[in-house]
Amino acid sequence: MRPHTRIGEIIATTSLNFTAQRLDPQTGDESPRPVQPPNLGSLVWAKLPIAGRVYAVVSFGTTTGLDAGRRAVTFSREDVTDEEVYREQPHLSNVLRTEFDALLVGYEDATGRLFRHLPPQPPPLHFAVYTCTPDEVAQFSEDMRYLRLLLATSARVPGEQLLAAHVREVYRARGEDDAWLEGAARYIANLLKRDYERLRAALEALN
Amino acid sequence: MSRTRLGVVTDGAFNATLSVRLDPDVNTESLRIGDFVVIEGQEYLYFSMLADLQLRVTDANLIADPPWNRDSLVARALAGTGTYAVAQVKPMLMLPRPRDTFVDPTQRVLPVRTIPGHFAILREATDEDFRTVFGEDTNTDHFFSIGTPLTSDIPVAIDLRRFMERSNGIFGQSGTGKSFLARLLLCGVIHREVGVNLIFDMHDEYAFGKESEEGVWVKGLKELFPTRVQVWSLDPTKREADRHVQIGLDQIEPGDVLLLSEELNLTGTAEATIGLLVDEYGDQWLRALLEMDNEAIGEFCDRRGAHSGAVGALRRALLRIRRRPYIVEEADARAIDELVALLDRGIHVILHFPTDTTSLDHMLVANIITRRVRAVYQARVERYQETRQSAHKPRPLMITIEEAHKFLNPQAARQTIFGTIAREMRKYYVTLMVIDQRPSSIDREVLSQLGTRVTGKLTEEADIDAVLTGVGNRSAVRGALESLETKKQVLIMGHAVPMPLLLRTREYDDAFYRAMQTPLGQAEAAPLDPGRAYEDLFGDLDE
Repeated sequence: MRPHTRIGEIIATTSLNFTAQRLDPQTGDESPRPVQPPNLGSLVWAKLPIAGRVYAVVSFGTTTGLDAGRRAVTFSREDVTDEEVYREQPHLSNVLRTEFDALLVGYEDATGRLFRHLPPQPPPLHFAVYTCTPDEVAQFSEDMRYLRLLLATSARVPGEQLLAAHVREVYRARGEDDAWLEGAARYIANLLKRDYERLRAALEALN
Repeated sequence: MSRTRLGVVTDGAFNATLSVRLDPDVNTESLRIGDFVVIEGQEYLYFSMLADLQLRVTDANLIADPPWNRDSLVARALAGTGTYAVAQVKPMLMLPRPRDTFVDPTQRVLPVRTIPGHFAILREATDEDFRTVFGEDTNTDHFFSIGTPLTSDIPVAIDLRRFMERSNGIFGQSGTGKSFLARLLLCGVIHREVGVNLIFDMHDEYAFGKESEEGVWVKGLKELFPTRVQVWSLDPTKREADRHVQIGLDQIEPGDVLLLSEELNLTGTAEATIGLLVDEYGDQWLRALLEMDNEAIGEFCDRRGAHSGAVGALRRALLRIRRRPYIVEEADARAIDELVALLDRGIHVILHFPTDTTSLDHMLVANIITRRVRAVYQARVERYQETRQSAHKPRPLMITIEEAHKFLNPQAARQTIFGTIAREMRKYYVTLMVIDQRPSSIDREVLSQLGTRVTGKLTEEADIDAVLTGVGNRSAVRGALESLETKKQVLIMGHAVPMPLLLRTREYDDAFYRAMQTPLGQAEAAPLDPGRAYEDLFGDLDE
């Protein structure tokens, strides 16, 4: 089993979602590169005080300057673009911040039992956010009822796009499980049965 | 035993049908209109008929912009979610729900008086359900198998005793196997000893072996039941016949002739003219008329005030009857009594018409014989009602006629004895089995009196309406009737079955012959299915 990777720290938290700042994943001997939020729709978790965890789906990502009021300035030149900008300006990682939002979709209690609805409490501020292993993703996605939470959303991306992004992530994590994908598609069709336009958008975004 | 779940009740009304949302994995093509299905309510099982299948969508936009590729993920995801099917189901009977998984055999099915609640489960009918509702042919009583449901191989029985209690109809356009079906039912009546048959075999179908449309030789009733069936023929040269029938001119009554108005091209004055003849000559009127020459006609007209042209025309028309080979001046009046005596002894009589006879012959002979037979029966029933001794109780008699619309069209039904029999039901222990391909030509009043109707495919709207005259739940049954295939499928409804059912008719083959030659109450020599064997074992223990 792959170890959990700590990817962020919670900097705002509510009963519905939390915002975390991305930790710089780079080690000293690597050349500097941009810090990116985790994949849209990927499943992450954070500890609850004492015992248990909350599970959340990454619903938004952003990178801005440290100073909220100031916009970033350009650093690229004719012959320096993309990654090279970061190599030339190694201090950038200190003045930029990458944040991501995640929607709470379930939790695990002290006994290890999984629930796929909103947790009784939000995760505490400053707690760490971890990626899920493929096994954890597979286990959590076994029951799809939490997909409904992704639609009823305070997310800033369209719900159907988030839904599709999450399903794609899970599909990959489950080793391209076609049966699961088929089931998820049917579940989405059921969720969006009253809105064919959004359903179409969600299903077409699955591929 | 399969108990396939089909869906759940979501909507509906007692006065209409119940809507059942089909489960996403149920393919509409696996269901058929008219299928026998079961709804499991909390207190009752509802034996029902599938009346309609409908396709629905949850969002109207889907209709305008469907996924164009049927195999795409979008289309697959929509199947059973955004697009789904609804079955309209009509409950027909209900049964208190058994406490365990088995149906309690002591419980009787009831007419449906309520409806199940929301989300009651709809499932396919099991063999057990068919047995509970329709009874089982155990070769011991009046439950006789005439086919299997379209969805199962379990033989479905009809209650022949109830079948005999009313006049019945067998309908279907030509080629749907009406005469096979009739033969099947006649065999049942003979084998189960529920009554006697008088069969007017107008097209040489029932008495002797015949080649079927598939080119197979099938046995006639005389071959299957040699000692219990007698064939009387109008054809004096027919050697296989047990007796040859003749009709005397003195046996022909005015009504018999008037029934043939169309065949004989009689004018409107015929009835009045015949009335005058009867006044003068009594039951010798026809003979007297045929013997008249022009002079005699003149004299008669002077005496009675008849019109000589009308009398002459009538005479010319009726000469056609005189020329029929089976017509004699005076026939042995005891022949009919002998026929009734045979019926009394439980011997079934087939009146065989040669192939060259026309509907004129069929109508004339059938009417005369039936009128006399019924008169005898009427006398007997009246005697039985006086004495109330079971020895005097007549055996129920079923008279089979083909091309029944000739006898029972609105005009004829008022004149012929057949109309009378159809209307008075079994008061005199005489009922009809009418076989016809144009039920719309039959008098509505007669149709509404029919107890059991068995019908093959009909395409004419008017014929379908006619068959459904007086049937409850018409719209549900109509769908079933329209879904019939051309061959070997029938819809049976009415008095002899608790609810309408689509059937594949029983094969008229060696296995059937064997069953018919197995005495009542005995197990067949042929291998039995385990269920039957078990029952037979129980029968032994009881004895």
